[in-house]
Amino acid sequence: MSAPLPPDGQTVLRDETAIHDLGYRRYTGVHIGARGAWRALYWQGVRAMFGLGRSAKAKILPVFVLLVSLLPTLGMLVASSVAGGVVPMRYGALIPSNLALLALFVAAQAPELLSRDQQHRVLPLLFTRDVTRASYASARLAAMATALFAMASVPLLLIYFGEIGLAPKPSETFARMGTKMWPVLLQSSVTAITLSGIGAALAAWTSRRAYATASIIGAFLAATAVATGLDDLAGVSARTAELLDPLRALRTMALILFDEPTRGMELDPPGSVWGYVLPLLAMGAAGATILQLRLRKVSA
Amino acid sequence: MALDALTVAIDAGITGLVGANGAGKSTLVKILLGLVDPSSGSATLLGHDVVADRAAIRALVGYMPEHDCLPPEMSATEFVSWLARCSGLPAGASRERAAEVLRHVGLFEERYRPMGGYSTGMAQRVKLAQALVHDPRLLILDEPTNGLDPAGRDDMLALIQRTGREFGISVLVSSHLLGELERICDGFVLIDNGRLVRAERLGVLTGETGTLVIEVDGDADAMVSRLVAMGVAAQPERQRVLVQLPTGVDDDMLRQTYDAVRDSAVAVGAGLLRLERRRGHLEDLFR
Amino acid sequence: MTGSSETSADASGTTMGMTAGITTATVASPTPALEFSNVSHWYGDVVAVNDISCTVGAGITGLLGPNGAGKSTLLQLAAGLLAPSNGAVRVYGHAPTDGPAVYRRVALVPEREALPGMMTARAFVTARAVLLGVRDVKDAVDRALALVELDSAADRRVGGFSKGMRQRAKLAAALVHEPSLVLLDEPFNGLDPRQRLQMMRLLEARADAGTAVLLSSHILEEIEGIASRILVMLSGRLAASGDYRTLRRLMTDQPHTVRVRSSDDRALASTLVHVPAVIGVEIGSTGLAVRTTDYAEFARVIAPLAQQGGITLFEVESTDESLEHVFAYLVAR
Repeated sequence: MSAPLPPDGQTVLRDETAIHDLGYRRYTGVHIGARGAWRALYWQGVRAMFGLGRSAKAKILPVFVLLVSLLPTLGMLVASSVAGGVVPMRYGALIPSNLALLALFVAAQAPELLSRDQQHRVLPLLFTRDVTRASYASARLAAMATALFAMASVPLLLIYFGEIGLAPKPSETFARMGTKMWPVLLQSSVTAITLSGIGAALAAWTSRRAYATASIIGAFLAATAVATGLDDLAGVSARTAELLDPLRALRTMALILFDEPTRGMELDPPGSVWGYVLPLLAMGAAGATILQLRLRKVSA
Repeated sequence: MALDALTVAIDAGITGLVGANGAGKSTLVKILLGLVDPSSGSATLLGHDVVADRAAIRALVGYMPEHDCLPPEMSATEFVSWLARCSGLPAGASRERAAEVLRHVGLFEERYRPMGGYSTGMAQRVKLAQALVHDPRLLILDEPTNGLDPAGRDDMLALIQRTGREFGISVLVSSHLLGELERICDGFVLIDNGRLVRAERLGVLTGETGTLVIEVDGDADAMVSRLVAMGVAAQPERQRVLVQLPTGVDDDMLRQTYDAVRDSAVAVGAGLLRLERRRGHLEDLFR
Repeated sequence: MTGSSETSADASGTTMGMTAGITTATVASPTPALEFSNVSHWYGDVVAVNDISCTVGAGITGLLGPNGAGKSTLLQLAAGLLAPSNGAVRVYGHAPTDGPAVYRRVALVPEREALPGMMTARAFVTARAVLLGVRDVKDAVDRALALVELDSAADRRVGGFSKGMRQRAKLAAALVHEPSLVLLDEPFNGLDPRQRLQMMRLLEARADAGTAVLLSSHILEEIEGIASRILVMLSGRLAASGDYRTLRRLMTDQPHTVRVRSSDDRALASTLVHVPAVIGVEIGSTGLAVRTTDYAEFARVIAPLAQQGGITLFEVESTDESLEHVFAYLVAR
């Protein structure tokens, strides 16, 4: 202790008294680069799809879609448990209504990920960072696809596990049913990819969310109208016409996958499931390409 | 063509970027930020080529745009830390840096509220914070005092000065408000019609001229007559007296001129409100 | 009060080539161009203009204040676009809504873009001229466009104009009927320095010819060079009016700080300390910083004191007489 004692006799330890420098400090930590940036965009996108991190109003639609898509599922599970678990679950019946709900979901939420950034002019702040137009597009698409996959698969998985759980002999049922898992996953993935591609392509064109939502819904409705028109009026075969309408194609694909054909399908067999998977994936990829092209034109 | 064979070297410190609308300022900024590729020629920024080393440059440059860019439903902390992550900082470090930087720009409890409710002053501070969060070496500011009232302008200019002087970050300010640039800049770059017209230290332009401006509370004309009679090159200008200082003379001769001014003011009983050498202004570049 | 030309002749006698708006004392022009008498205006609960009384004469007057202070509302009241909730607005003695005779003497250049993109500049200015009953429309339009230097671009669509050109088009439309009172709301918004200087010169020329110009801005440096007569609005009230240097001297509770550089600072300082108006002298490396309660008195004594001491004065300057300081003081009150 080199410091002299203050006159009043109290001991003050010099080492403990200091004014700390709160000035600006350089950042000397690690940089995880573009991967970290992609992840930040991705997770923020996933949260935005479900309205997380925003006001309660933003969550209404995702919650609504989730609940409504689960109601028939839960209904079936209840009916099945009452009947002692022997009623076979019909996946195919769920799919059409769920698809409509998912279309609504993507129409409402895709703009949150794509139109919003343009509206608030955040893109220049992103593109001057470790974010390229390509990584922005892929992160947003991945986020949308993840959210859609979750929404599409949850009801199906519920039925799947419900059927096994409620069956009188779960292990037997599982052995019989085990193969139903991959259709669930395939159906959900293709749905996710196709709808997110279409939704993203349309949402990116406008900075006004209401217009984006309307245009996505309009696109689905128009596709249905065209396909139905070709089918009913123009005499084009139903199988061809339905490839123009993604929702209808997804439905038919599901019915094939879960082996629950309709009367119409029995009369006019659709052929292999890959005849649907590939075009639908192509639609999704086209959407992603359109998104990329659109972003290139957006001035930052 | 927005830029025509532009060659410019920008020094450390605070530099002002001036030029007419459409003269190429925004194009230059976009090239420096990597948002646009130069059609020909090259640009190096902080030792990296703007096209080839784009990723390296992005980590080194911070950008504060002129336009509004704050999502109203996010809070400042959320926004700034998200952007830090988009610059490649790990999540934990992003939060810390965001908190630090928001403190430096003077945002305290407000930072947790949604930005939709922010005043212009607070919004401008957030914009500056997001430009600083990844610790850039160069800060590019586009009309940083846009929409601010005079007190807010002072605060922002002081903040920019601190950033340039204390934080050790080079700053490039693009602005139409020349008076503000004169207050904070060390040097300036003037662009016109896509070409570099001048780039030099501010002092070269705003240095003193050879004219004395004298404001008097009294009979300016009488003072002028007396000065002329004493052999001084004086003339009236509105309420003022202008005196041309003799050039190429030694200090004693110069002092005689100043003394003549003083004495003639006393002689005519005029109050000496102002006596100073006229300085150049950035505005002179546009006359 | 029949035609605009007569009034211009009246007013031109006042300014005599000076742009600073120093007018009314020297001339027999009894009715001011614009007069507010206890004018208030509210939108529901928001009192945009609160009991304002002032006059505006020939020359350039700057209307200053932060955003939301009520400047736009005041200009709209002057133009007759709004009727005051209380009090009276008089343009050359008449209410601004008093009929075409008054409309023709006033012009407002609003802040918002009000230009129909598909019209050419010429068409826009012509429409305005016709609406206002200008005789010899073609000549008037040509003159107005030449005045703002848009004659070469006159037949192009306004939608393709740059911001500066749009401002000039709006100004041409406002000047086509040669009004004697021109009101401008943030006219320099978004203009680059050259465009701003051009517009300033234009306005100065009009003011020299006798027009009364009232222009608003929230950027002090824009006003500082062009108007020495200012009106300062804060939250709807008129905080101050007049020449800002004079205003500074009225701020007697705020001592002036004057920077002095001489051949012998310390000696000068020791004599200054004896001056009653001087309350402090700080000796620095670049000269003295003298604090005084009476700037005019200080100005009167500094030269004699220096002369007596054989000290050469190199620099005398008040460091807080700028518009910024005046404004900051008014805001803080």
